Amino acid sequence: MITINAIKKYAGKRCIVNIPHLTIKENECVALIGANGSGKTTLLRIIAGTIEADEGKVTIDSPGIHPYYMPQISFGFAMSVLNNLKTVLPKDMSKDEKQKAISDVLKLLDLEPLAKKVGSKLSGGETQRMALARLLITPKKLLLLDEPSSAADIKGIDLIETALIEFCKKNETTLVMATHSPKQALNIATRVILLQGGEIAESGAPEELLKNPQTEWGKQFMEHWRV
Amino acid sequence: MNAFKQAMSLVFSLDKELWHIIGVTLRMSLSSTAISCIIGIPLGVFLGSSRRFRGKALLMRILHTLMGLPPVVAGLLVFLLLSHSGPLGSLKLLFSVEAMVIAQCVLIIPIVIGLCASVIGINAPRLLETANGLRLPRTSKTKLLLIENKVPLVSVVLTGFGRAISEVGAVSLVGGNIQFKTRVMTTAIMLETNKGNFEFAIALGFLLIMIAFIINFAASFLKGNSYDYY
Ligand SMILES: Nc1ncnc2c1ncn2[C@@H]1O[C@H](COP(=O)(O)OP(=O)(O)O)[C@@H](O)[C@H]1O
Ligand SMILES: [Mg+2]
Repeated sequence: MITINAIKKYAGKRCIVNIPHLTIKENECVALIGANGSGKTTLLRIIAGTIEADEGKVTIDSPGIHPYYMPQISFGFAMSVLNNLKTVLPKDMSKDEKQKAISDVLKLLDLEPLAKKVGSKLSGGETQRMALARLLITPKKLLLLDEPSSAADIKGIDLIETALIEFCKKNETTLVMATHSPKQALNIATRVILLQGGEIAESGAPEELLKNPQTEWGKQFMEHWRV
Repeated sequence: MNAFKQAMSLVFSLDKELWHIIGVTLRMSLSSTAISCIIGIPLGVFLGSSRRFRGKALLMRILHTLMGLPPVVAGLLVFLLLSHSGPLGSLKLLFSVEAMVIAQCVLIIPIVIGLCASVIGINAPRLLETANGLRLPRTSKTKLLLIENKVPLVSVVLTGFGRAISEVGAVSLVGGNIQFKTRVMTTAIMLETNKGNFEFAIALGFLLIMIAFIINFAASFLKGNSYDYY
């Protein structure tokens, strides 16, 4: 699905992402983990195509499949939550289909109480649920999420995780998400990639990597990553 | 105080010349504001929301210089352009309201573009990162940028209008301050004050402020209520 070849991204002279090779297969759910500033956001942006790598190439080799991306700080549009959802629906959908998609996703992320509130004035966690709803409202094959539940409360986190798992299973979605939550990685991911200084320090099955990190940095990092 | 009383009686006596002057003033400033916004807002939105491209920095620098263009220089430019022997002399527009509108557009378009670009530039990067992530089409993105910046954009339009209605240098140069033709409130105030005819000048000044007030008041309705509390 995604092939990354020799990408490098610089901030001035400093290399902030440097990945010689990485492939992500269809249907995989990858959790990107790593300390602040390890390059998770930058890597996601490069895959999403919102910024370009200075060297190397990212290819998404499944025809007709495009990445959808939820930034670390999502923007709530200055209209009701309902209209935030309507704005992203394709024009060729019938009225009934639109109605159903909206009510389904409102229920999925418990947004019904917020439906009439203004999207730009929600709290951080509410904004994240709405931002995710805007993505999950129609089927997607490739989702890139940057810490989608970082501001949500415990119930919000549960809602988001359940929604993601259900959505990915139903639509056979490939998922790449940055997270700071070990529980989330174990819950959702089929593979965990640990970044350090823009490079892949370790990569492997979630349980395995969390319990038995192989590298020195991996061991240090996992010290603080207890469930 | 006596002069003020006489001025008020002029205002309420529906003096023919006074009302003609107001008519020309409104026609001129509304036209030049409208034209400047129709040209300037799309360009401003484009500049404010575009990423860095080659020449953008230079373009912005030129724009900021033009925003401070002295009105008489703009007037002189348009004067030369429209004068008998000038390149557009055959249009015979000099000393007409049209000429005044053209001169004002030269002044106001850069202001509208520049202000609009700064306003849009504030939240465009974040808004576009989200909108691009959702793969929204260009039309939706433009619409979102405009909705998001509705309030400051109204202020941009008002700034343009304020510039148009209060400007003297350019309009007196290319309009000629001709009675019952191109005389507007500002040029009339200049003339009447020079003549020592203070009542007329005060009446016009009073009305000029009233018009500005009414338009700003109307605009605050347009901006709508917002429940920001910080
Ligand atoms: N636009 C930028 N300009 C300069 N430095 C940047 C920019 N974006 C990111 N960086 C730097 O790159 C590093 C990685 O950032 P980021 O990808 O946001 O990390 P993470 O999401 O893992 O916390 C950080 O040190 C950050 O300061
Ligand atoms: Mg980040």
